[in-house]
Amino acid sequence: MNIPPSLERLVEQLARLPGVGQKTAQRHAFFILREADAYARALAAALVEVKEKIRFCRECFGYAEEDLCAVCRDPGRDPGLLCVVEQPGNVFVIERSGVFKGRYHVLMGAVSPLDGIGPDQLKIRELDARVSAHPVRELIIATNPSMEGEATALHLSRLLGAKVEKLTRLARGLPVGGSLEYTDEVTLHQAFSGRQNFGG
Amino acid sequence: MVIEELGLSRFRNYPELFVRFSEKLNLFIGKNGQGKTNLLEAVYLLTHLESFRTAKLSHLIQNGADTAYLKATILRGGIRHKVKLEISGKGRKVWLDDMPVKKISTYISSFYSFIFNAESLHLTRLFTQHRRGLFDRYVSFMDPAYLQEMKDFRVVAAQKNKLLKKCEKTALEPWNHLFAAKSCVMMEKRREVVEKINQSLTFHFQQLTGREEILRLKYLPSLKGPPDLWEDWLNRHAPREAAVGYSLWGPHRDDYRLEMAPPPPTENPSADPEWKPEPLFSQGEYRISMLALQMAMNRMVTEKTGSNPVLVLDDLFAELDTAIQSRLMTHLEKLPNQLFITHTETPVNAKPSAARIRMIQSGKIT
Ligand SMILES: [Zn+2]
Repeated sequence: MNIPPSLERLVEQLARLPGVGQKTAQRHAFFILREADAYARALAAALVEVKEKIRFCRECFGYAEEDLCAVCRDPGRDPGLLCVVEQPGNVFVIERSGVFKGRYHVLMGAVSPLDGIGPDQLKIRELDARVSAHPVRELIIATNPSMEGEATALHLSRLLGAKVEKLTRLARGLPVGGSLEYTDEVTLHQAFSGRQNFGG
Repeated sequence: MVIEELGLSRFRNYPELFVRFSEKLNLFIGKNGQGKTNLLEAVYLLTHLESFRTAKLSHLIQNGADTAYLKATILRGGIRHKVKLEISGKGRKVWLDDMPVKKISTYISSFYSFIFNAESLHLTRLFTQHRRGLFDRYVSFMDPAYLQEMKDFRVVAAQKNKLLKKCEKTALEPWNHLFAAKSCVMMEKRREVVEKINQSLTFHFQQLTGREEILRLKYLPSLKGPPDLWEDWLNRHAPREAAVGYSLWGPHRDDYRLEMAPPPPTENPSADPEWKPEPLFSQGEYRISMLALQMAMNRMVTEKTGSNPVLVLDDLFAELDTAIQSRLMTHLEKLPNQLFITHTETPVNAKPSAARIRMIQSGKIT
């Protein structure tokens, strides 16, 4: 088979996306070729724009286009409720469910010695500072229900348990070994309403 | 469950083969190296999707070929299923009723078989890790959730070992907490299955042998004492683990051992029996004890799933005297299970009545 080099380059790039294999990448590439020029230009512009504009919120490390993200700028969000998640994307999953009215803190991962990630590689010092600066009524730990997420939750409970009024864990009821990213809204509602006191 | 038909293509020493099996006893007679065990390997592969002889599935492909195929009709719960397996250098693909199987664990927990094979028995007798592997399989038969527990535990143990190698003792505590919690769940499930086995182990041993001894299985956990003390205990012993660079205590170091005792004297039934530990068993005693263990598991799985596992007994009569052989055959013929038995010759005193006796020579079945 003799694929034109430009087409091959596109397939190669698309195939790097999570969940996309060679075959799907080819289908996507053919789709882009079939569509009008405007689509390809819009797609390319959107890709460049998102990389140029999106940064991490100074306060919570969620995705933002300004210094602070939309949640941190919203005076209606309760600063006494703080939900800790692993990835910036997790914020949108919880936001979409509409179940949570507090604020977030993104750790940028979970502890995993095998990957060389310890507490110092995560935004834990920043979380500690936030909790010490403003009183927190409830710290909700919403790390993934994986072993790494559990270990991170335990570490946080030991570090911050005495600094907040109440510390709860969301993971119970979420699918074991799963990730917040793939959790549906009903399950998320149940997980939030059924959150339990947590102490390691 | 019953494997009704099996077709092999370029599998081990079989270029092409199609056999229809008896729903009860199938006895295959042939000299060593003719393909008896290869046939049983195929039967086992259909239910476990792995071999009991090799970790590399590509070894199953006939020399010179690049893909092996297995096709079978399996009757289970009144429903006839079509199973197809493709083994190539890239791995295995499975189809159930013409649909590709996505979740292997669901497939494995719908078909059950037990293997009795000299090589596996030998390894099980010699090495702790093979004994753990055997019982991990048995526990997961009884409780499929155990597979996830094992997976979680392996992750925790690997993360913990990494920290031990790097001597980061302060970061260790959350992992020891999870380690203790996961150990507790796994050990509880193991203990339950061992207890259940012991309820009928002696019965099956006496049935098979006609002997009067008591047989029991001992579970030897590596972590001892009350589970709520383990986390603290592991934290305090972290320096010893750090010194070697891996975790020294936990379910990954547990062991299982058989032991046998003469029946208690009738005048004093509560007397402490004198237990003979497994290393002192004769080869014959060990084989028949392990068969009794499989019979106990067989009944437990049948009770739990409502379906009879397939029993695959390779070279069953080896190292057993003729009296036991004939007793064994009479007993096995009464089982409701589908059985696959191989032997080098037709057992003299143990000629099965209803069995289909087949001869195997150079990959051909007559
Ligand atoms: Zn923010």
